[in-house]
Amino acid sequence: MRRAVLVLLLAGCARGGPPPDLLAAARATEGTPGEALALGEALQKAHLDAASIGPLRAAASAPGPARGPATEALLGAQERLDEQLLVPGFLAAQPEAEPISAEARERAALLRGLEAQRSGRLEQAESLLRRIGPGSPLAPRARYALGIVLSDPHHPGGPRMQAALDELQAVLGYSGGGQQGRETRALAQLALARVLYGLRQDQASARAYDAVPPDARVWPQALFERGYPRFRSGDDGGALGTVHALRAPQLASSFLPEARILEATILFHACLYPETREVLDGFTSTFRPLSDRLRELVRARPASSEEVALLADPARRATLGEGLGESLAAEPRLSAGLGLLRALEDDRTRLASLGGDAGPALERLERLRAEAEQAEADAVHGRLEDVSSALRDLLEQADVLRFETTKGEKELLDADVDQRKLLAARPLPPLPSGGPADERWRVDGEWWVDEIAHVRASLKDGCPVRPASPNVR
Amino acid sequence: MSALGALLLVSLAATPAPADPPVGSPDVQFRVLEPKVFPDALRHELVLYPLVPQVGSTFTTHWLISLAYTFHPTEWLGLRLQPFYVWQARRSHFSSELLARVRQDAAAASSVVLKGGLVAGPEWMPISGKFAAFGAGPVRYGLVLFGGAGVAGTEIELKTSDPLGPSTYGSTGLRALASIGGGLRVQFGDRFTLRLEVQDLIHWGGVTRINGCDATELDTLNQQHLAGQPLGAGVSTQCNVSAFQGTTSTGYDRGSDIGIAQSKVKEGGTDTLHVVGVYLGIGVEL
Repeated sequence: MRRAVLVLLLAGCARGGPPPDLLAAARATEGTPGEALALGEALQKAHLDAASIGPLRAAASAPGPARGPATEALLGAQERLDEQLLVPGFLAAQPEAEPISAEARERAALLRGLEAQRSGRLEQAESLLRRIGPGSPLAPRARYALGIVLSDPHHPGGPRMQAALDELQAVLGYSGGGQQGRETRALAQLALARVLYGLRQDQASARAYDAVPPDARVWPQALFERGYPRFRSGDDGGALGTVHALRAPQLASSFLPEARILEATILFHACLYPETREVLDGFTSTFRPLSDRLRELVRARPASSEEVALLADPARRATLGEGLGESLAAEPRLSAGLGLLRALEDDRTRLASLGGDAGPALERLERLRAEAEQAEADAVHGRLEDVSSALRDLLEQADVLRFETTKGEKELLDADVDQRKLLAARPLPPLPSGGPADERWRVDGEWWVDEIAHVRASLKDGCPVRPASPNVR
Repeated sequence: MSALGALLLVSLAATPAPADPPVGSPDVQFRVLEPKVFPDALRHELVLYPLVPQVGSTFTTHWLISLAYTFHPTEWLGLRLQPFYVWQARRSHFSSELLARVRQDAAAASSVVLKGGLVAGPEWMPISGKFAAFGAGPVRYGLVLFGGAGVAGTEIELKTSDPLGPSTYGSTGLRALASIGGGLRVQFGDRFTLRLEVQDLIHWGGVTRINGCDATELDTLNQQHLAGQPLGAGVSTQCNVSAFQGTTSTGYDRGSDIGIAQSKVKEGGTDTLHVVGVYLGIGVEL
């Protein structure tokens, strides 16, 4: 009988039919942990990594000899797919599931550590992340996460800033690692700048922000954030220049509403009230409708498929507006979730091509797809909630700034100060003289990508006397 | 930026956008203060101009090969040393027509051609800018102006080219040379440059000696040649008698050049000659 099946399979291949691995995977059953492991391995052999996650999780969750190999195979699929929702969640929920090889154990520790960090279990996260040795290929990712954990204000015993700086600095010392390695180093550079800002080392922080590579995903974020150390250290022109540069169309897919608030704050600090009002009005007219839309979206909580489609479908993504959809879709965790759904869809297409043979396999795959979709939808919903909440805060800040602007204008009137005359009498402060190799270009609405990081402003001080309050720095 | 400021080229890659607040405010000004991506200061540039045609010539036509070494002490100033070699200089088409049709030859002082030489002088880049090409990063360009002085070896055609053989030439010695030029320099990446320049090599003077022999010495040599005597008695060591001895590869008696040389030296007169060339070169910065 077995010989007959083999002959049939080979005959199928000869006619250009499905490969034997695929047929075997489709027909296998998932009963005992051993069978689930065999099924998972068969699916992986047929290059159906996404589909293998379901049976391998089943095998890895049950005690017994199949647990180790199943966890190992599960981690292999996770690595190949860069899966960041289902497998990390499973590993966090199943601490007994341990793979066999040392490399896979390190990967499991990293994924569990990241999950613990995400859910606020910082002590556990630190313990897990410290298991990864400095020579491991996973060390940059682990040490970056450790740096974040150590600098977290909720770290047990208080944040350990110097230790965090050491870890982040160490990440920058690693080389290679391809795209993921570059991403990790850019994230570490950004985190370093943030920690230095938290330590009020503004000059060092600004330099660290400047060192984020322009081709990094987080570069626009770094461009925006570096306005803060500049502003706090008194470099208003540098701060205003960098936030103004975020208007470049090349950064249209970055969602940075807070930049407008910082821009208005800098202008307000220089008592340039009409300009402050103009920026605030622009901010409100752009982001209040978006905030209203988001609030409604979060409140209504559409079906999982709808929430996922908000990012997966480019047309739906664009409806979010202001670069929010593009920005969210580029976030690694959400992007990886969309990637998993695409991989599952590809696997489904391949299994469906087998016809009736693939019935049970398709059912299992559909259950997994629904679970992945729900996990992705939860992640999308969580981020939309975050953004909605942040936007509401920013709109409130805009209202406060608008009130303070009106108050400032009233004080000028009360003091009988003709600000127009005062400003006309004051020349624009000169821009800092650059080195002999510096080039100066006008900023007149035409944006060159190589210039975005080098925009500076020169602004007059419109204050008759420096206002004592509010201290906005 | 230089005294003349920077020129910004509008290109396809630059994205125009409406001015955003507070750009229109008289109390706020935005500028890009960008470190030059590939600075030139304190770097050395070597440019090869493999084939330089002369343009606008009247009586002579030159084809040159040239090498320019430029040291850039600052971003905008260079010190340039440029040797060149003329691998072909000959009577122009116009001059040949003139000779063939109306038996009218150009004045000797106007027929002197360059053999090779060296000019040195400053180079100035008063205007620079950038453009984007094919969606790649910006390419830097600069307008360069340069001038200088130097020295060049010169010669003059004696026998014209005919069915019996090619032209023969006699040396008219070293001459002072002035140069002036300008063009466009484009920088690709950190190392490579492309230059398109026009340069005028100016030399002047009359023809007083040929192959080092003045009119009297040429007269002496001519008499010796006509009498069938050995050449060389009674002339100075400066006079290169051997240049008039023997035959060319086509069998032409070089002694026949003495009479022609004598007549050209006797013509007198001076002229200022311009060798305007189009220099397309590729360079490397070190």
